[in-house]
Amino acid sequence: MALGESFDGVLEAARVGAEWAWRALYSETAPALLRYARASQIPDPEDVVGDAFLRVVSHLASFEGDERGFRAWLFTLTRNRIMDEHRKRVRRRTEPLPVEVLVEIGDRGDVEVEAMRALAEDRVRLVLGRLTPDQRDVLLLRILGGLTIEEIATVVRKRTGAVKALQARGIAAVRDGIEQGAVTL
Amino acid sequence: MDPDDGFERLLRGETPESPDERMLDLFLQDVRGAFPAEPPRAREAHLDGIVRAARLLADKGEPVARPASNADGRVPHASGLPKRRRMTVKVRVLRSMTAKVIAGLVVLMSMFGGLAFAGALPGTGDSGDDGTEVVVPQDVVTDDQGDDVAEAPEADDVEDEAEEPADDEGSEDSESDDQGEDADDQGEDADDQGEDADDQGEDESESEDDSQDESEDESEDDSQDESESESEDDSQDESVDGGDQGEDD
Repeated sequence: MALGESFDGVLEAARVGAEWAWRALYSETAPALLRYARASQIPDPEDVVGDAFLRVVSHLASFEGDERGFRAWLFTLTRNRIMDEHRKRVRRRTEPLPVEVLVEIGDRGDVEVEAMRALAEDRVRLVLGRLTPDQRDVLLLRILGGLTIEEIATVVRKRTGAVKALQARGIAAVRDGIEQGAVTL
Repeated sequence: MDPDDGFERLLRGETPESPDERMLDLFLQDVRGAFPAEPPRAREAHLDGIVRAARLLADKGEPVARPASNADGRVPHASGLPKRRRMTVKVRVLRSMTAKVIAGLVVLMSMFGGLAFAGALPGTGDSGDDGTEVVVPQDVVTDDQGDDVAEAPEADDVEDEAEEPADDEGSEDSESDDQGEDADDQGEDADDQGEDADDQGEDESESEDDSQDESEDESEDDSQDESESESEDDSQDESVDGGDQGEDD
């Protein structure tokens, strides 16, 4: 569900600090941002989404564009934040938590659903592990973010042709991985 | 068919047309199933922070939506920045005026003290160019100057006399022997005597000061200069007398 024609009014209300406007923008965009952040394998995806929205608050005055542009801008901010997290993780290596602690703080929902999701996530990570970071970014933004080639080009700051090439090579690598039996779908 | 076209159709939700596309479609479903579109658990916390930040910007007076141009210019502040900043004094000790004056005096005193110690100030020190005229009697310098000057007591001997008066006074023969030895030394320096007359006179006068009158050490510089010139004459006379004694001996 997109905001559609009401987007301009929501944006103006958000600029003057209206809470309802921010709730509408958050509800519309945060789930897509969160799934993209989770697929990017960072320690705290929700924290990254919250930081991205705080940056939106402080830089909203400089934004000009429509709803699709706003969505692409949000993904740009989230991607920059994800890259910061990757750099931090390289600089500061952390000790993994024990399994008991992870179980304590883990999900309390449906066990079967969680198990199926965990299996699917493992398969996807195996396939995505065969891709380069740029190919992975392009495919995730297309599949999970729903962005077009042109919008992805603005997010990753590349030309449209380069993004198309990255997508084609990424799809080929996924096919090769599945055909070679790396992943059983 | 371009593989990208099949991928685009699958993204739009259309059914796969080939086994290859079916395999790709399964992958897309796996990705979407592994990372479902769910609202964040910290949704309310995020919204609280977002709304608070947005209101903070509004309350601060800074408009969230900034004007596109600065045509009206910046609003001047009432206080403004200080036009003249206070010059910082790096050395804290020199902050007060009294400390600065004292520091200046110390520098001047040390400078003039150093000059005085080096003798560079006019009218001080014992350099030969202090303006005192020394008259050397011409009749002293004779052909037999070596003999005349031979009996002139040197400053070292006089100092010895001052330090050990009992021994020297006890035996005049030993004193005469010393004088004889000194005569040889003096004879070697006889050629330089005319040139070093000033220094010799001063040395002799000092030796006489040490041996005869200790109170003259406490006299002032001016009187000392006068006494130097006088003592020089006396020493010359004594040297002549000593020469006579030496001949008599």
